[in-house]
Amino acid sequence: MQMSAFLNFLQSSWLATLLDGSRYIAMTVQIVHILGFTFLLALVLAFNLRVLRLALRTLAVGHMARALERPFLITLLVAVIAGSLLFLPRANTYAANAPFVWKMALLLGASAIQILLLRTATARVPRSARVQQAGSGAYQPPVAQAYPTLVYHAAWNAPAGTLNTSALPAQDLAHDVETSWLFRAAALLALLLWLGTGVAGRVIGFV
Amino acid sequence: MLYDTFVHIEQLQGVQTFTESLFAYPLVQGVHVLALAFAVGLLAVADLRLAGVLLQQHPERAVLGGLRPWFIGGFTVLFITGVLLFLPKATLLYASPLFWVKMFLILLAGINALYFEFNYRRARIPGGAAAWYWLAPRTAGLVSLSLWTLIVVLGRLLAYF
Repeated sequence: MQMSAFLNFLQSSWLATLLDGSRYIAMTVQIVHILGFTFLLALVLAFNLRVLRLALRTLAVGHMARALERPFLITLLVAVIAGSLLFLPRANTYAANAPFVWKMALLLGASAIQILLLRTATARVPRSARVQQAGSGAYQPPVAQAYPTLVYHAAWNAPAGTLNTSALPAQDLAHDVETSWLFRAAALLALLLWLGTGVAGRVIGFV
Repeated sequence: MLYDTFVHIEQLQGVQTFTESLFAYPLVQGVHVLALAFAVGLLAVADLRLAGVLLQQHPERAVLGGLRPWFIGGFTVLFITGVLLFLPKATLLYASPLFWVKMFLILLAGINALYFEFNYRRARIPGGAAAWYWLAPRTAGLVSLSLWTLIVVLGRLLAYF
């Protein structure tokens, strides 16, 4: 089936007709799309800036990746689904729009690299960390409940500089995932691709 | 009187030049939307940490402290671009009730942020914060998150109404 025929098929489908019918549905889908990618960019920014050591330098990369992986995938899914619903009623128009095609390419690249980075960071929790906890049996990833509440509140209220980091079991910084220059370069590339996706998305309306 | 001020603003030479330029307004709009990711996005991550939903294993102070310079920078850019976006359309926005609601919510969000800054960050009441203040840190985070989500939604709807 040819591309144009496929796009025509999409554009004339029952779902596209439904979406195009009401102004309110279109508005709602747009809002969901914007909220979705805003939170997606937030998670991506937080992680990539950490890898590049520009922000949140005291946080462990491996644990951070583990915590952010699922929210990242969920927000990506929401943004992509909403985006698809925006695309459907005007499939032909968007396909002919150069910034849109760029946006799709940049989005694909950014998502692929980001998923790779997150997977690598979560999978590569170093053996030494496991060896350290060999006495207690199998490696147990840190969970919120295992975090002693007393230490938690002390951590929040402690005056700056007096924090006893050795009392925080989840923050095993000495055995953190080593972020090689390649890993950081990939994080920078991913960041630029994400920002590019955002810019391309904005330009769509102006071409 | 406010309306007359807005009319006057729109007629300023600088504002006229800004409106007439093909690229300036869309560019500022683009920067405004991108700054959203830094400002509202990273603040949302910090708020979710406060609410205990995200990054629970990491100390609150580290997450909030680490993100703070970034979302403050983001809000600065957001504010500046926001003012620039307002200037050429002052009278139009004056007539829009959505705009005034958005401004009011921004004011509320600002008050919430100041409240948090002065009371929790300085840890004036060590360990007993929840008991003394009627707004616990967790609630402050959720309030901030809800307000900013609503503000973003209203910002989008401004284009329609």
